[in-house]
Amino acid sequence: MRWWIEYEKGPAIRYLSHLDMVRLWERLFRRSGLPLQLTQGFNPHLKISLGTVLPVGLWGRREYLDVKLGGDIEPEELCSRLRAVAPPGIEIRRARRLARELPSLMAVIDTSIYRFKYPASLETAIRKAAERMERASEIRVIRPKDRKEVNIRPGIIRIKCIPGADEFILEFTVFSGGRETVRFSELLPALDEMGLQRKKIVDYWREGNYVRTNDQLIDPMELD
Amino acid sequence: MPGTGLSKLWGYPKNRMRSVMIRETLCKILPTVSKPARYTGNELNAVRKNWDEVQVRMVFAFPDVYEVGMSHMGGRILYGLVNNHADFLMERTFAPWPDMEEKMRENGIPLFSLESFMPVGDFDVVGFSLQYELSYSNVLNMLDLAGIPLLSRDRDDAHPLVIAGGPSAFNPEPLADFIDAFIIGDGEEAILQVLSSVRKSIGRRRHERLKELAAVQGVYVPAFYEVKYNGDGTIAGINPRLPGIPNRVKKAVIPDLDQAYFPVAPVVPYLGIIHDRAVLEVMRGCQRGCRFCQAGIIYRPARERTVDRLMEMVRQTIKSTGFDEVSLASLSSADYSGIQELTRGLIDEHGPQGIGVALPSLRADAFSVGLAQEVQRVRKTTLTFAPEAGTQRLRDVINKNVTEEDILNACKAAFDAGWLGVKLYFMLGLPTETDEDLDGIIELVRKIKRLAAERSRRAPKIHVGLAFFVPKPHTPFQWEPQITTEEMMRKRRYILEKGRIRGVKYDFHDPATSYLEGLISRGDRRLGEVILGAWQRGARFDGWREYFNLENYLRALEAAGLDPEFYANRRRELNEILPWEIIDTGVTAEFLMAERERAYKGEPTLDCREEGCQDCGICPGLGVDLQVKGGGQCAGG
Repeated sequence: MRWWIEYEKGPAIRYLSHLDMVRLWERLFRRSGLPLQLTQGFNPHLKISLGTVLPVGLWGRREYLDVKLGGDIEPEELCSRLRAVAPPGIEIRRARRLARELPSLMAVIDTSIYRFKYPASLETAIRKAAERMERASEIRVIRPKDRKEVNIRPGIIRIKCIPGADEFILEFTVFSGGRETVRFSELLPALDEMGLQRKKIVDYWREGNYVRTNDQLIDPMELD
Repeated sequence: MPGTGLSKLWGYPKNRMRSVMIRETLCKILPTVSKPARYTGNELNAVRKNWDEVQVRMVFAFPDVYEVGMSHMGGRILYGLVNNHADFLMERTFAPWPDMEEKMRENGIPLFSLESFMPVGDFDVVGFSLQYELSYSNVLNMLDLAGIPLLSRDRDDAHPLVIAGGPSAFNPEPLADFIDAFIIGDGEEAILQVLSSVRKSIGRRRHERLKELAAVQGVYVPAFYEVKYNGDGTIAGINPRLPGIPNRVKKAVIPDLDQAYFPVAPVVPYLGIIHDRAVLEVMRGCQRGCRFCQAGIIYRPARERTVDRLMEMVRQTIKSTGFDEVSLASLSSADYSGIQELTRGLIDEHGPQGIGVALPSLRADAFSVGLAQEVQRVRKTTLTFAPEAGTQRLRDVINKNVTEEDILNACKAAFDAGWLGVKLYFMLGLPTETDEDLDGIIELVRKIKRLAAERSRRAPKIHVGLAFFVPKPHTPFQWEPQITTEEMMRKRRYILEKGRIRGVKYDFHDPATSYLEGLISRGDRRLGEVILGAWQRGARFDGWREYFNLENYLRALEAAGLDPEFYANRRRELNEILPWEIIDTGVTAEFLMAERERAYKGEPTLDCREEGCQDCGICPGLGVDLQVKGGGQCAGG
């Protein structure tokens, strides 16, 4: 049986790399005692694939993985079995049994939401910057990966300001699949440009991952 | 910088301001250093005890980076053992990588523990694990980062007791100035006795507390001994300064390993570490009696666990960790008498779940290859053998009881079973070695290469690892000179020039590193000044090629007016008082001398498990026995 699992990679383990996360999940499943499915061959491993990849340093509220398990089990029971053996920092949110064949999570997820939390005192500056970015036809940044200049504006779907009691959140909804993909590491230099330097940021994380159809953001757990 | 989540998560302890401040500053600096997960702790099975509910707080300090320290089995044992005790807690700290050290110093963060983020200086006991001499500069650096005075004599009642153990503690003298008390030998019982002693002496003067500690078997307090020197620099005497202090310190020993504590819920690191698997200690000690091997002496006698107990330990460990591989650790696991029953049992029980078995220490014989074949999952990688020397003459000198036929048969079996290459380990600079022995290495490698070529269609790979022999304390070769670095380089050139064979790769240890290891490992307490001086000149992470610089030590030696050749390259007289004689391993000096004689004559000394007692002195000396418990025959005997 194939499952999609939604989980939080908490702030405690934000510094784990993708490889660390793969290892974490393999061990977690092995501890759970659930009927696992192994790949064939000399070096069998579990049939798990992480549908979303977080860069080192980022935590994620709603991340996803795809796993094949033997036997039959109810989603709630699966979640509680996993919760019982989860390490600090991992929160199992939901599980979905795939009744029919769906493409891989990695292939369907194409939109992500990133949030930047600033002190509330910066509200005016943030609102101004958000407006400027919204209106701009181009936002050019030096991509950290290859030091090339790129325009990330086409990949930004929406910019939103969310006021809080002590803090003020700036939210970006961006393409995370296809040619216009905007990476988290490309948003940081854009914020630097706008006078919202990274040293002023209190926290940042990925709020969620979605599948976009007809300009609607669909939760992967609801996708049909 | 982003980190609110961190302080929320690391919520405990709330009432300890220093811990809170450390965590807040960490949130700022972690995004700027390499591999921040080295410093965030909080792994599965990490134990976070309430500081207010225990009486003695100890931090286990490993003088190398997290990934190395977390791979160390002894630390896992002590961590579980101490935390099982209601009155004690043990946390962990490792050497911060240089980029992190820089940030810590810049931001005024002291060395902290990974469980409570408390400063190391706030613990009652700081315990260093000494695995090799090249980590000594890190010991000093960690003390400095912790704000603890480096010299034992500069510490007062408010400072933690600084203790140390591990194989290198068997010559404690080079660190005598810095360590308040050493634990020599098996730590399982000794550590609890030490912590009980510390608990009993709470509130008393430091000097009194150390006197109390010195009464525990295996504990050596260097400040209680006076060392006198002769005019030529050799030692005239090592004598207790106080009444009631033992003349020699007998090592601590666990009589029954099967009954001894072993952790079945070790910390599971998030980061990939060096040995990323469950480790099972199938036996401690080795009776093979290789004359260069220090571990073979200091871990005597060989004590085995039962197969039943080991099977149960694996079951529990896998359940609590989720590791996908179990490593059967010991000095020579193929010598464990239950090895076949155990490996088969493990494969039958856990193989279907995709859990593998690893055998890290194989002998060069066909039996070992058979074992490796049974446990292998990923076929066609390389197998490792250690003939150690290139001629039968020299192998007899070092009592490596393996013949050329054994080695060739092992390689044949490996190639026939489908391995595409072998890794061979040799030592250069062994006592009595001549160029003929170097030719022997090349000849042996050539024969193995030919075997491989006959049996494999693909070009077989042969890796030859060459280390330079370091004479070690407590071995039959403890009196021998180490060859000079010039001679090391000549031997390296010799092999490289005469041993050019297609498909054979040579990999040499660094001569400068081997030289320093030789110098410190047989040093006396005057080397304290040198280690301090080297650290002041910037030495740290000496075991890492990118940071090692021999100059730091040579200049410190010069400043201290000490001659490196005196320590490394001098043949010691048999009647000379050796700095490490203060430690009684249980093996007698007479045995070591007799072994030395037999080495020169090329006479073998056989395994006492098969051939009867060889009179090393350990069993009567320590009141212990050899323990063969695996049920099977002594394999390969």
